[in-house]
Amino acid sequence: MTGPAVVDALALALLGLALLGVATRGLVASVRILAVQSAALALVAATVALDSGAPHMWAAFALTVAVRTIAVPTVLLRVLRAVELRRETRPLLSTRSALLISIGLSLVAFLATGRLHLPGAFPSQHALAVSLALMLVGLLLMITRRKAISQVIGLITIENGIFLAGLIATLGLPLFVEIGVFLDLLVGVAVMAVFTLRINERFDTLNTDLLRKLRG
Amino acid sequence: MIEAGALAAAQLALLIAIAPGVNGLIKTLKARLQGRRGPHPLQPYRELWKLLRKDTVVSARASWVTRAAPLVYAGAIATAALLVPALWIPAPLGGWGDALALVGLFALARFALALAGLDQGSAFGGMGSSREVAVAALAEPALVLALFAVALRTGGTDLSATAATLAALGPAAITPGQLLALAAVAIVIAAETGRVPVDNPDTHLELTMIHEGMLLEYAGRPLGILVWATLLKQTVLFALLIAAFFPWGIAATGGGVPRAAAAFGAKLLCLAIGVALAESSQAKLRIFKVPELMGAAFLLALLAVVTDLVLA
Amino acid sequence: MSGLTLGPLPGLVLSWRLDPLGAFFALVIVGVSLAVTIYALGYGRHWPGRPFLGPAYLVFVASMLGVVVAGDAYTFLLAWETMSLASFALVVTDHRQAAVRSAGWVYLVMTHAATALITGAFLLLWRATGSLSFAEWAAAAPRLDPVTASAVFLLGLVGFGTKAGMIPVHVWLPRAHPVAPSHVSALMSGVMIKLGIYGILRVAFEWTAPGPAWWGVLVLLLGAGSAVLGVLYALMQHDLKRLLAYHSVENIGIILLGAGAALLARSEGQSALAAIGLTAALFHVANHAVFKALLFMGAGAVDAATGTRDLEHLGGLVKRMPATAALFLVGSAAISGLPPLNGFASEWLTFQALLVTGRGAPALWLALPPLVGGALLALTGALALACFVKAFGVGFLGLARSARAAEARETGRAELAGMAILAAACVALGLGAAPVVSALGPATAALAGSAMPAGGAVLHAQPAGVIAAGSLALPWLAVAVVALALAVPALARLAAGPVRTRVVETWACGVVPQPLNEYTSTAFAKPIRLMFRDLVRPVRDVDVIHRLGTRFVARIEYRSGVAPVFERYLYRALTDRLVATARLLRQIQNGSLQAYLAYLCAALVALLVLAR
Repeated sequence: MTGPAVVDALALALLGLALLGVATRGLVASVRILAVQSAALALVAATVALDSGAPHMWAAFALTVAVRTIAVPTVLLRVLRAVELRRETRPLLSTRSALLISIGLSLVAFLATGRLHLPGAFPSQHALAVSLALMLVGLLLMITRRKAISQVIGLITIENGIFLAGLIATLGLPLFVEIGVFLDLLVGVAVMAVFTLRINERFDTLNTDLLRKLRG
Repeated sequence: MIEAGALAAAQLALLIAIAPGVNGLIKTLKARLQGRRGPHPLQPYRELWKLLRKDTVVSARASWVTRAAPLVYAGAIATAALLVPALWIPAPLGGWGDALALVGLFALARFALALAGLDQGSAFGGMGSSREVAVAALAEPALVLALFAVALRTGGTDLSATAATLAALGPAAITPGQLLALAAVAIVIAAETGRVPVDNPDTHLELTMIHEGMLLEYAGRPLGILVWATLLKQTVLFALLIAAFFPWGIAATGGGVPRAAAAFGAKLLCLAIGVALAESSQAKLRIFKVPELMGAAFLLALLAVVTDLVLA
Repeated sequence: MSGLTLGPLPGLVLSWRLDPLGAFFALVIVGVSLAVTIYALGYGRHWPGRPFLGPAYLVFVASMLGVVVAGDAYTFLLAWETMSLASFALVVTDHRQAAVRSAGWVYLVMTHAATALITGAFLLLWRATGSLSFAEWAAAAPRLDPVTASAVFLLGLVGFGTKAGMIPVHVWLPRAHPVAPSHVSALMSGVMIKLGIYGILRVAFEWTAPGPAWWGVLVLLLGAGSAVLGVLYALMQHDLKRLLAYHSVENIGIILLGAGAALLARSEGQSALAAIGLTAALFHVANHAVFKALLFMGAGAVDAATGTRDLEHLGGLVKRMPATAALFLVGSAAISGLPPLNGFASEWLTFQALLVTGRGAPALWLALPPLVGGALLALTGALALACFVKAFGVGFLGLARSARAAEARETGRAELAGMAILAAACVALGLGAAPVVSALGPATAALAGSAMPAGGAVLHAQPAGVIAAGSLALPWLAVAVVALALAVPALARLAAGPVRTRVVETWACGVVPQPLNEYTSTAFAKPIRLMFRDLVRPVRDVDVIHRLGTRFVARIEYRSGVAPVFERYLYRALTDRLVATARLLRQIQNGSLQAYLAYLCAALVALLVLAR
């Protein structure tokens, strides 16, 4: 198969994984799905690197594998084990509605991309639309989940979407930006982890609903 | 220059001389109409002469305002007397002031006297001042609007030129608009001279003390000056009425002065009879009904303006 | 002089321009500020411990100058805002009192609302012409389309009118001016509100081409309303400074009458007549600045000497503070429009402008507003005279109504010097009315297209050749009045011999004369209050309290005031509506992270769907 075709297939797989993540309620399962998603993303990076032959793409591939596929899920699983959390509490939307809305958002993403005719350096048909869909679905995840960890999962999904868009549109973002993004991700996850542990220690719950009381 | 000064002095002397006589005539006519004999028409002259020779009394709490007020009052009214064309045109100060300047000079006189009323620290003076300025406030809009109505016909507010234009027009000067404006000005003159139905000039009761209230604390020579100046104000208002509405016979050259004098005398006589009739046929209004009367004058003046605009 | 540019920010440069109109206003600002500063040097000793002529004051004066020499919208707004903020700081000098803080707050809100409207007008002009420069707006004025021109005019009128103190956006004026220290009130009332007029003149005459006639009629209506209502509310006050503040509203109305007549004449293409109205308006700007500052300084001197501004507790000051009383009298005579002072000269000119505009109007509905406006101007003048007879008569004459008034001492020399400068200016502007009108020629020519005829010592109301056109020569009239006033006693003495003067106490019907027998300020205004009660809406409360269990009267309490019509029906309605809407909108900010993210998502989806 040619590079673009592989990328297309992988992109669709990414979208499917994201939708699966919306349907899952178990937190450990969600983290594992996230890990697989990041692995697929790494494969996309490898394909683009092979196709375009730019050396910095391999660095991006390596970083993706190291941070997104291995480090972040490990940290998340550790945190989950420390707080003895297994399942997400009742989310704001039922699984069925969430799935339906996610599919709707994906359709919007495809529609918009088709209309906007965005130029892409890498000639892939669906990857750009999928990246936009990933961003929207990640946003949805952040909106409908109550636990802080689930919201971080949503955040990482968004970042995955951005990374994919970066790969397709400009053959990877400049290295500096990539490193910055990864750093941002790591720090975000670390902070979330520390906070989650502390909040759990303090309040014995991770329910972000209670954080509303802090409004001014 | 000297000729102008002589003319000015002549007009002023004339108006000052006839002012008490006009008032005396009105009083005598009113008395006859009301079935009394009344005082002699020349009685005001005797009273004024008496006042001018009397010693004066000043209140202990009064300030220089009380002493200065009669002088300012007399000076302002006398200057107004020089602004209005009586027997000849142009009036002595004609090019230096118009009808609005005349209204302004009357305001200056009123200001001085009203302050004097408050200076003496009595309640009568305060009441007189308060009512005087209130009535004057109501009379001014009607007066100015009526003057505007006249100015719409003649082109402006200059009294001498207005008199000349209307005199030249002859009988054609009488139009419905002008008649309405005449009625408005007549009502305003009743207010400004303190005559029935606004105020009763013959009594010194509290209820009728609009003008008299402010004069109450004056005695002797200053009172004489104030009374004479008030009579002069009345004569000037009559002359204004004549000049703005029926100035026929006014002299444009030196030769026409005797005829102008006869015409002026005749018109003053008619006005005196009219005032006497008006005063004898109605009662004084309550002070708080006066706004309605002044409102009527304002409406008449407004109608005059509209009529002039529509028919012109 | 034009166009000196500095550039602190890329794309936005400061530019300056001095044209005849700006020069005139600058002269007024500088002249009055000089006198007020001299006054403040002495007045400051009543406020120990505060920096009296400190940075706020200097910034205030400088920013006012900046407003009139600004050459483009950016500079103008910068100077305008600085002026508003500096004046706010000065108004709340005595911020420990709640009333002062509340007044300052109202002032701040209204001036910023006004600035928003002015900015709106500027933005419309920028959109139409593509530049912010005033010179270019003036050049592009004929090409402005009617809708934009009317929108700019209305926004400018209301925005600048708020600063000027026009009814119905005047409510900050009677609150802010009394609570500020007197030298600040003098500057604000004398000079700052004139900058509102400056803005209106620029908007109406320079940046929009001759507009439809209804502009002029609208300005005439607003001017007449401001004049009559301002003076009626002033008559109801017995706080001396609040009374003066309402008089500022009245005089702005008079200025607007002149400007409205000019606007109306210009819309009919009669630039010679428009020149008369504009000259009248500008002349009254200068005159009011001079006598209003003088009166406020006098009120401040009285306040400092007696500790009160309430007329019901003053009196007898003409003997305790003779110099202050004399100077206040000059100011009172000037503001009442008495010849031969400056107030009469500009009011006379306004009358003439209204008359000729009414006479030259082509239709009845265009002729009636100026003519009726003239009648209302006469009403205003007479009521102003009544009000100042009250203010001076009750405040200065008669017996003192309180112990502190009986012990008042004369004001300091610096204060008197400041006041004397302005009093002399009142007399000079009155006697020199004709030269002043000639000097205003360039300014009116720039705005209206023609100037009033210049002529010697006589002020001519109309171009030569109009029959019966009014003319005024105040110097000669003044000479006549003075000469006759002095001649009368001389002649009487000549004719009837000398008389002696005895001094006795005033007869009060046998009672020992007391201050209680004197007329009070409320009593003085009563006839007018009753005659105009439909406009003024006085409220009166009389409580008769009996001794317990009997019919004997222990105490009678009398309260009188004026119903706050504008606050109640206009402003309270607006603010209530605003608060209700804000309460509704507050529900959006509910503190929930999910909600905010949902807003984000919704916005993103909407953009994606709608983007093209």
